[in-house]
Amino acid sequence: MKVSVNGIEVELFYGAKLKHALLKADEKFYYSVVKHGATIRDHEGNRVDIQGAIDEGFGYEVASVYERNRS
Amino acid sequence: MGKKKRMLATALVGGLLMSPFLSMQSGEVQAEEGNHELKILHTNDIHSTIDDLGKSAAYINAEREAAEHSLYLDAGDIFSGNPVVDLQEGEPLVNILNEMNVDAMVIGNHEFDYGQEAFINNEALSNFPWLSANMEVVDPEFPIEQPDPYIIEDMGDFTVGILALTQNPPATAPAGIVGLEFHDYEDTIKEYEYLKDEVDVLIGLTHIGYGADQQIAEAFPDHFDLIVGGHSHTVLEEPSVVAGTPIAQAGSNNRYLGNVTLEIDRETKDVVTVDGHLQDVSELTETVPHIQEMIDAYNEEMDELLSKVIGYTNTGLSRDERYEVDAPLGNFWTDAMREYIDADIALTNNGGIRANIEPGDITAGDIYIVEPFANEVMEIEMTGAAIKDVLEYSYNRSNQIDLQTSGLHYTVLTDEEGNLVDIEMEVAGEPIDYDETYVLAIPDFLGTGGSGYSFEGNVIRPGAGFMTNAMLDWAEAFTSQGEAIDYTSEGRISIELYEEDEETTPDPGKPGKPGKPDKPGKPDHAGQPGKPDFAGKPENPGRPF
Repeated sequence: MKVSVNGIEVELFYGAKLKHALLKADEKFYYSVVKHGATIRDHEGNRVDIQGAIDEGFGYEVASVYERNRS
Repeated sequence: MGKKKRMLATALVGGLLMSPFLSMQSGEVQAEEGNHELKILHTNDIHSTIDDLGKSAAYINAEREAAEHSLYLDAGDIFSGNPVVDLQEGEPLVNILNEMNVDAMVIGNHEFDYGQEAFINNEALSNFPWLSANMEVVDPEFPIEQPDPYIIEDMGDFTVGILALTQNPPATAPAGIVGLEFHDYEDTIKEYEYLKDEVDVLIGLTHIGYGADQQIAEAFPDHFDLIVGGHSHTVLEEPSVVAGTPIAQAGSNNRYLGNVTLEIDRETKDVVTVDGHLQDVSELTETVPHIQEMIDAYNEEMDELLSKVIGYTNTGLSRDERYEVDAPLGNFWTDAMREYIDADIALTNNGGIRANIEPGDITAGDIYIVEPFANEVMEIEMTGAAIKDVLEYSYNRSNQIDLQTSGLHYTVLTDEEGNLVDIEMEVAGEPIDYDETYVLAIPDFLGTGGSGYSFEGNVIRPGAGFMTNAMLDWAEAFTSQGEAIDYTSEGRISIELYEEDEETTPDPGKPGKPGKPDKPGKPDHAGQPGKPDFAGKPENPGRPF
């Protein structure tokens, strides 16, 4: 399954969750969510949970903590 | 998000946005007087999160009392994620949902997490149907009954069909889906295409993810009047319309409740508008007292559950020497992982081992203390060469041991400064074959790049079950045979100074094929007398509670 995280394309196994995509793309994305509460949105702008299943071909954006606090 | 009502004028069958039955006032779509309204309350991916279900129930009840017609649907994955529920294999959550008047639930992949016996028990305990149109029980001797593919609800003024789809195949603990087959979504919809003509309103209740929901909406335009989905934990604040089909999903963990209203033409029984929004559960204040009492009681039982003794250890299970050798707790842990999925080798990282277990009674709570991260066991096939790459990386991170092991012995050879020169590896007492493929159990955190690791191989199952479950099961295997859970550092891992003149030279090339360890073979623990034999362990021992 191919997805992108903040523009970084990653290829993952069937059944992967969003946490796996974040770890694969860059570990800092994972920790910004689990330690600092950064939000994740899909390419349509919908919020998604880190434990959710990834969707083939989707793009995800991890918001910076600064953006989260500002909003 | 407040209790705001986001109105969605959805052009449905035949461009009904321009229907004379609709009137537009103040930017909102108003139902034509006399048309019927069907309220759909929905949840998905509750994942054992029970704390606010009393509030959800109060909201659902109030909405349903005010509605002309209503249904409460759940889009699957009610289980896994909270020890209060998980340590009782789902029963508390089913008991609560039984008080919430659920009309139907689609079977999600995590409904299989507790094993097949628990699946059967939970389904039998439920007073609402567990549906799946694409799940087939292929073994007639199999204990799980074939689920209904759909239900038809007669609302009096109209009928509603609810067709259910489960993730194909479900990403779950493998033991839970033995004897089951799962079929293609589109083939399944075609098989039940006749439903469209038999009911006035057709709803897809799915646990396949938002992307797959979009695909079936595009493949079957205007087929479903609404898709209520789950699995991707997507927060759709209002239904998303794809090829004329509204798709709704309410995040996860009972943070939101979905609230969709379908306006149904009084004469034609066609759905003419769809209006939906999410209710933020944290903003609710009212609760249903008797449900809240149930939740409070279950939470109070938590301490008792976590203090339940699951075994005894004379040696204690220490992690203290994990950076130099195989630690007793690392050996217990990796044996548990290896046995859990019947792997050749198990590896786990020192950073995930968070505490010691002292000599004496071992409780369920101890397991959650040593592994607080809810990591899952990943099953992956790797070559011997790829395993060596991983071990080299693990040592080079800080010039110390980072991976505990079962099924594999390894010796790190260093120079006098402690820098890596080579690693020698043995499987079943023979040198590892660099070209041979081995099945490994590893933490999913590491398997997807955590701590910089790169496990190059073929992932068989990304989440074969929680690490904690593997250890609880392994402890039960000892205890059920009256054995203490005793482990020591037993030489699975060592660091030695590399000597130029020793017989073993760095990177000696491809050794002969040693063959894989016996399966189900006894793990690296031969020095522990009285340990239960792998072969004698029941297939699915269940939990010690």
